Amino acid sequence: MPKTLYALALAQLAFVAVPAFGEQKLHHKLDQLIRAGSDLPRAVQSSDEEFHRRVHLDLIGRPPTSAQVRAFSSDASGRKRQALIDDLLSRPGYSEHLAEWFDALLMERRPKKHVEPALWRAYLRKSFEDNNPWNRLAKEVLLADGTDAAIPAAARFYLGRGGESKLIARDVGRLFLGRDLRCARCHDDLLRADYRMKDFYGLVAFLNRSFVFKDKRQRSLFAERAEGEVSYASAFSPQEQETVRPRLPGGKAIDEPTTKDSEKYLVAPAEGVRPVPRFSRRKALAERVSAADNSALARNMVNRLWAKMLGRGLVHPVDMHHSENPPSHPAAYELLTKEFAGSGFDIKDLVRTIALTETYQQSSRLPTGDSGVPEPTAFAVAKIRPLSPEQLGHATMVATGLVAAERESLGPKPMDAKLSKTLRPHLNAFVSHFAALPGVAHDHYEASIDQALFVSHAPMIKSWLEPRPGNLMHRLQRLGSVDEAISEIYLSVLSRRPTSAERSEAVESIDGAPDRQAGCRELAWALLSSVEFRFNH
Amino acid sequence: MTSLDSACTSFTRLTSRRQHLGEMMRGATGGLVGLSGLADPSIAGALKKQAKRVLMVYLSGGISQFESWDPKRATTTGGPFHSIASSVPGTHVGELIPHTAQQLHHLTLIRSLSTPEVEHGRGYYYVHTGHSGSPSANWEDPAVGSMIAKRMADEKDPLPYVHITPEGGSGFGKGDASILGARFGPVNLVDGKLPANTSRPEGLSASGERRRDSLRDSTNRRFLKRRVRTAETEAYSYSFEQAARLMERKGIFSTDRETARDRERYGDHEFGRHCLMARRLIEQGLLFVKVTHTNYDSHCENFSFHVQKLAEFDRPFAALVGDLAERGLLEDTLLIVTSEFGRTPSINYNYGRDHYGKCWSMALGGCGIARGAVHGKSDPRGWEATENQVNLAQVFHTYFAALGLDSHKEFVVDGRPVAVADKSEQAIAEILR
Repeated sequence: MPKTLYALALAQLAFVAVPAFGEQKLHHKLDQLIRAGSDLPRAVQSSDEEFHRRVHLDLIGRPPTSAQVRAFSSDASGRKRQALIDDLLSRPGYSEHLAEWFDALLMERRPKKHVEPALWRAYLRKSFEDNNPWNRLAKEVLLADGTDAAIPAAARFYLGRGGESKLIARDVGRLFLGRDLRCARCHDDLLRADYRMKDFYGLVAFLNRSFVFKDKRQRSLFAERAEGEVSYASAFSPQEQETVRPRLPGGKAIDEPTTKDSEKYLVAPAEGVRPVPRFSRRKALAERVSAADNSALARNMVNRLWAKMLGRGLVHPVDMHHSENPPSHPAAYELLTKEFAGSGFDIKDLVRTIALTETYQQSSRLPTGDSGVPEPTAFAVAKIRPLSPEQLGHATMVATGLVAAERESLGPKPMDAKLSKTLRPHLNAFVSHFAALPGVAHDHYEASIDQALFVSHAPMIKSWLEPRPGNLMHRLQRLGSVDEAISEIYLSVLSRRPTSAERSEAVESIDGAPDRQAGCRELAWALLSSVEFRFNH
Repeated sequence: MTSLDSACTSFTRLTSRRQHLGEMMRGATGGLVGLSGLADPSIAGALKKQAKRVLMVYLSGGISQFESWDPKRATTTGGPFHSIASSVPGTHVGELIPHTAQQLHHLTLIRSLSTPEVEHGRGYYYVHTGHSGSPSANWEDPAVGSMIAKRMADEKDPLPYVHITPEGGSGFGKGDASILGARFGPVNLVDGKLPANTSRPEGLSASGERRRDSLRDSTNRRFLKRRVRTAETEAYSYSFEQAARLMERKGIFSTDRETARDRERYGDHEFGRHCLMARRLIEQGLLFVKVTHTNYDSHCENFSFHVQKLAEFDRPFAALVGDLAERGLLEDTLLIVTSEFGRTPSINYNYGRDHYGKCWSMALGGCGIARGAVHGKSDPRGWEATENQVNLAQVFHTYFAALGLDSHKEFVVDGRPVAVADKSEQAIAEILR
C-alpha cells in the first residue's frame, strides 16, 4: 500500500478518535477503520445461512447439521449471532479446531520424528481448552527440550525438525515473527531491505549449540552445549566472514554472561550424558520471543488469525512483515494488536472480536451494480477461501451424517475421544489427498486430478452415501416427499435451503434416476463435489 | 524411488535368477528383434500428428558401463565378458546386450559423463533435476519430466507424464513437479496398474455419474455467478474436467489389445510388459513416458547380476527401439537411457562394482539426436574421460535442444525465474541432428 495512503489512514484515525469512538466496542471501531480505508461499495451483510455455516467452519472446524441450520434460521432473537459465537467458542470443537490449525501451522504435516504427533496434538488441544495465552504457548514450545514431564510433546517443534538449527531459525522467523528470512541465508535479501543475513544468522545463533540427544531409555531430547559461535559470509563476498551473536531480527544481540570454563556447565557433557549449560541460548530465544515488549509476536498472530478468518492478512503475505510492505489498514491493525497484547495474548478473545465485526460478517456475494470486483485489500466483500484438508474431511463426514452414524453405533454415551479415534483414518484420507506435502506452508492450496477422482469415485465416499442408522441417506428414506428430501439434502450438505430453480432441477434429475434413493444419492454427491462445498464463503 | 540397499541379497533376485536365465535361453530362439512384421494398421491409423514426445528408460541402482555401453575387454578393470560388434561399425558394446547392439545405429552413446552425486537418493535427484539435493516428498527442484511437460504439454492434457515402475505405490507423484505444480507431476503406475479411484465405484452407473456431474456443474455455475472467481475456485472445478479427460483415456493402459506375438517378443516378465506398455503409450501420444527397470546396484557379484539384469533389459529394450523406428515414431520421440551413476572400474572383494560418477555412460536416441554416434571417450581402463567430458547440464540442454525447445529460456514461477540447467553450459552440438 503506498505511503501516502498510509499517512491518510493515520490522519483518519486522528479524525475519528473522538470520545464516541473511544467508548465503542472494539469490533465496531475496527469496522469503522476498515471502512474508512475505501469508498468502494461494500457487500451486504451475510444471510443467516451464510453466516451460520461460515462461523461454524471458522470456530469449530466443521459445518452445522441440518437440524442446527433449521433452528438458527427460525430463531428470531436479535442477538443470535453473538450468542452463536459465544456458544461455538465454548464447545470442545473449538479447542480441537484450533489445535488442528496450530498443528498444521507449526508442524506443516511433518511425519513422526522423535515425538509422537498424537501427543503433540493432545498438548495443543489442552492449551486451547485452557485458553493458554499465545505468548505463554510460544514460550513453552520454544523452551521445550523433552525433559518437562508435564509437557514432553511440546518439544515436537524442535525435534520434529531434527533439531536442525537453520531450518528451525527460518521457521521461528516465519511462524512466530512473520518474517520469512529464507533468502537471507545466502545473502542480504535483494528485494526486502529489512531482511539481512545477520537477521537470519542471529536467529540461528540461538539454536546452533542445541542438538538432538537420545538418553539411556532411548527418549529423544534436545540438548545444548555451552560453546559454539555462528559465522556466515554472503554468497557475493564469500571471503568476508562475519560472526553474529544471538539476536531477534532487527533487534540487539543478547547479553551473554562471561563464565569461567569450569563453570560453563550445570551438567558437563560426557559419554551418554546430556549436557546442560549454565547459560542457555535456547532459553534466551524462548524468553526474547515471548517477551511482552516483542511486538512482532503479537503482530504476527493477530495477522495470521485475521487471515484465517478473512482470507487475507492485513499484512500480506503473512510471512512478509517489513517496512516496504505495510498493513492495508494500519490503524485497525495497530488497534487490534494493542488490544491483543493488552488482553494477555488471549486467542479466544481475538477470535471473538474478529467474528463480531461486520467486516467478517459480510456476504461473499458481490454488491449489485456494475462496480466490478473490489480490490482484496478493501475487505469490501467476504473472501472465498478453501477449506483446510481437516475442515473438508470433517465437513464431508458431518454432511453425509457419518459422524452421527458412528456416534450412534458407539452406544448411548459415546466418548468424544473414542469418536475422534474412529474417525481419524477417514480424516487422514482427506489430509493425504488435499494437504500440501510435508514441510510446505500449511495453507498452500493446489487442486489436482487425484483429488477430483477421490471426491468422485472413492469407495469410501460412496459408502458414506449408503443408508446407515443416523446418517443422511437413512433420514431421507423416512421422509415422505421428494421435496422434503431435496430440502434435507441441501440443508445437510450446503447448510442452506435450495432455491426454487435448484429444486426444479433436482426434481427432474431424481426423476431420471432408476429410483428415488439413487437420485438422492446423486444429488448429495453432486453437492459434495461442488465449489460451494469445498470452499468457505 | 531407488532402494538404498544393495540389491545383492534381495529375495527376488536370488529366487528369480533361475527363472530369468531360463527366459534368456528361450529368448535366444525367439527370432530376430525388429522384424515385427507389418505395423498394425489400427495403430498406424491412431498415430497422432507429429507432436514430439520423450521416452526415458531409467535403470535404477546404477548400471555398470563396463558390462554395457563401454566395455573394457581384457583389461584389469574390464571383467570377464567379451565385447561384441554392433550395428555401428567400429563401436562395440558388452556381449550381454546382443539385441540392443543391433539397434545401436538408432542411438548415440555418451561415454564421458561425469556427475558429482554417488549416493542413490542424491544421484536419483541429480539426474532428474540437475541439482544437488535429496529426494523427499517435496522436491526443491522440478524433475526433467515435469519441466518438459510444462513446456510442451497441451493445456487440456490430463496426462502429460506417466511413470511405469515395478515398485512403490501407484498414484500421483506431486513431489517431482516441485514448484511447477502438481499438474506436471508423474502418474506412477506400479506394474502398469492405474492409481486408485480411476474406476467408477460399485453402484454408480455411467448415467448416474452423468446426472451427478451435471448437477454439480450447474451448482458451480450458480454459486460463482455473483461471486469473485479466484484462481483457487477455477483450479478446483478444472480438476474435475481433467479427471473426466483422464477417464476417457483410461483405455490406453489396457494391455488386452497387445498381440500374443508382441508379448512373446518383449518377454512375459515385468520389464518386458512395461516396455510394451510404454510403446503403446508413445503410440497414443503421451508426452513423457518413463519406464524404470530395477535393480542394478551390483556391489556384490556384479557379473552374474548383469547377466540377469541385462537379459531382462536387452530383448524388450531392443524390441522397443526397433518397433518405434519401424513405425516412424522414433523421429519424434526423444529416447533417454540412464541411471543415477555408473560403476567403479575396480572390482571389490565381493566381485562387485561400487558407485562411480567420475566417468560413466548413458544413451540417447530418436528425435533430434545423431544416429549411431559415440560422444566422448574414457581411458583404456575406464577411470576418467580422455575426450569430450560431459556434465549433466550439457545433457539437459541437449534434451531440450533435441526437442526443439530453448533450454536457456527460464520458467517463471511466482515471479521467480527457474532455469532448466546451468545457463553457462550448452547442448552438445556434435550429437544433435
